[in-house]
Amino acid sequence: MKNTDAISQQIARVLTIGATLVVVLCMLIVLAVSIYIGRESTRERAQATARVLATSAEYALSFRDARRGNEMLEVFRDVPDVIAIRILLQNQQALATLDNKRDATVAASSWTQLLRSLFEATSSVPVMSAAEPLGYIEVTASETSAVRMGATLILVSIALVLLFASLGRPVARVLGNRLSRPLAALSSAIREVRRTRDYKLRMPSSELKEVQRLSEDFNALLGVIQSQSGELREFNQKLSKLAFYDNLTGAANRALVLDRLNQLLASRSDEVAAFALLAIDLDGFKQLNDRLGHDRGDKFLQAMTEKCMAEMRPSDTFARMGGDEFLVVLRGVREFEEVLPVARRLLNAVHETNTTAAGEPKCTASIGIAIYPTDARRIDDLMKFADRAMYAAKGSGGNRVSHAGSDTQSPLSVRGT
Amino acid sequence: MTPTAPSPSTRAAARRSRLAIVTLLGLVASVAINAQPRAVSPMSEADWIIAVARFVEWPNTERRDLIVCSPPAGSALMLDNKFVRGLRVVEKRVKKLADAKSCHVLALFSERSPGRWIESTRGLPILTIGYSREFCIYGGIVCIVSADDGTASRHRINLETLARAGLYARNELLTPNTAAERGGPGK
Repeated sequence: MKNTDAISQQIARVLTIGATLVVVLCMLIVLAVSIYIGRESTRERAQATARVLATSAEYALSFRDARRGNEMLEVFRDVPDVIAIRILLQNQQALATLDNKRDATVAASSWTQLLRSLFEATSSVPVMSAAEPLGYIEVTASETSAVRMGATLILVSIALVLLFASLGRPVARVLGNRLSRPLAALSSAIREVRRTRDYKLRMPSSELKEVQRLSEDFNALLGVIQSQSGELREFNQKLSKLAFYDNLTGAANRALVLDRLNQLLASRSDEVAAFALLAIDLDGFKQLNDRLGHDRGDKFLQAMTEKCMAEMRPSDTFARMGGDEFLVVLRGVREFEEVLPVARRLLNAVHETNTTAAGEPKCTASIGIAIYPTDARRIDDLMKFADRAMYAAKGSGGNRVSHAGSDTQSPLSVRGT
Repeated sequence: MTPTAPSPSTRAAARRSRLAIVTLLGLVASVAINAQPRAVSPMSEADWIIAVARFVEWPNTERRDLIVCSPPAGSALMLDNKFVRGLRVVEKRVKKLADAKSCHVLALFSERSPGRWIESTRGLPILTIGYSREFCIYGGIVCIVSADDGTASRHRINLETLARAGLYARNELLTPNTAAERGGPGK
């Protein structure tokens, strides 16, 4: 199985990374803005300091008096925001230098020093005598409060990132459960459909738009499957009917009756398997067909089949073997005497199918009977005996029932009423 | 946990980081070297004249030029086309004592006997400037002397002769020279 993460884990990861990115980005933006503002403010202060010094640096620069220059700068020794001051000659030579940075480096940690350098600004003001430039005062300053603010900002950001990292998992679990619950319900419903194959089931609705859409789509899919499944069932039923039933009369066809005969023979108990086979052939059907047409012939076959089937039990089989030949299987009978009433009723049913119109040809039936297992034990033999009896009945004038046992060559005939 | 070998991309990133750090250090070092203060070059005679003249005011404010004179002895001061407080500096060689009366500054750096020149300008608004403490004792107004530690030159002002010449010196010029010289012809 593919290694997958739970939704809550994914959310926790996204939340933590997203929150960290947002915090870091915000921190960087605020830091950049504060550095910009701090540097501008620092530059202004440095410039103001340089201007003050420039007013009194004329002598030192004129006489290149380093001692006087250093005395001037000493005033700014240990001033927190002043990092360095230089008095420069016109040719950039440094006449006097004050460096507060060295002390700060010792006292402050390296990252504070780095922050301080970010907020540093240097301003240079020329020292003029009338319109004549003598040199420059260069002041490098830093905004202590801004450095402190920057350090605080970074610490707060780190704390926020840690907070998000620690809170991410429980918050994500709550959110994940909220998201995954409808998905779990959907998954459960899908499994139920798969297990029961009941396509009438429908997915539960959800408050989440995406899950609801998924649920609706799946329901639509189930509807399609349900509809196609019904059509398929109907089609299968039709196919089955075409395969095992006669298309004209609705009686069983040759395949079905042979299948049932085989089933009966496969039964171990002779008591259960005992049955009679009745081969039926219509007398005068050809004349009826020729004179009245195939439509009338077909209608006669349909009506006759209906009447004959009405005379039989549900467990019996009435099959059309082709043309005007039929085969009947009567289950649970052993003696000719048991079959005879049924055969007579069938003769009557065929007879009654004829219309009363004068001059129209009439149809009757000739029925040959073979009984399992007394007459034969094989289907071929039984059908042969039944056919032989049927032809004997037909030979005797028709509208007659004949029984041809395996041990007798002359069939026993009974004429219909 | 099993240690894993770094991927080629990780090694390349590390190599780039090292290169960036080395480049950064190089830049920082070069900036630091450039930031080293250079030694201040010593002041020339012309520098002294210009520096002092910045802090002195002459009574006649209508003039446009500052005439700096010097006796023929010694090399030229190379002051032409320089400006002091808006005044163009004009360098002039004077052979006679009488010619010095039109000067604003009389530079006597190379003069072996500055006394007669000082004497000739006595009471006139002429700023005399020369080397050694004796120059001020003779009555010169500004004398350039070696500092106490001998490492640099400093100037001293003879306040009496300055006042007698009718010149005005700004406070800055006077403050570091508390030991103004007295005596000599200026007395």
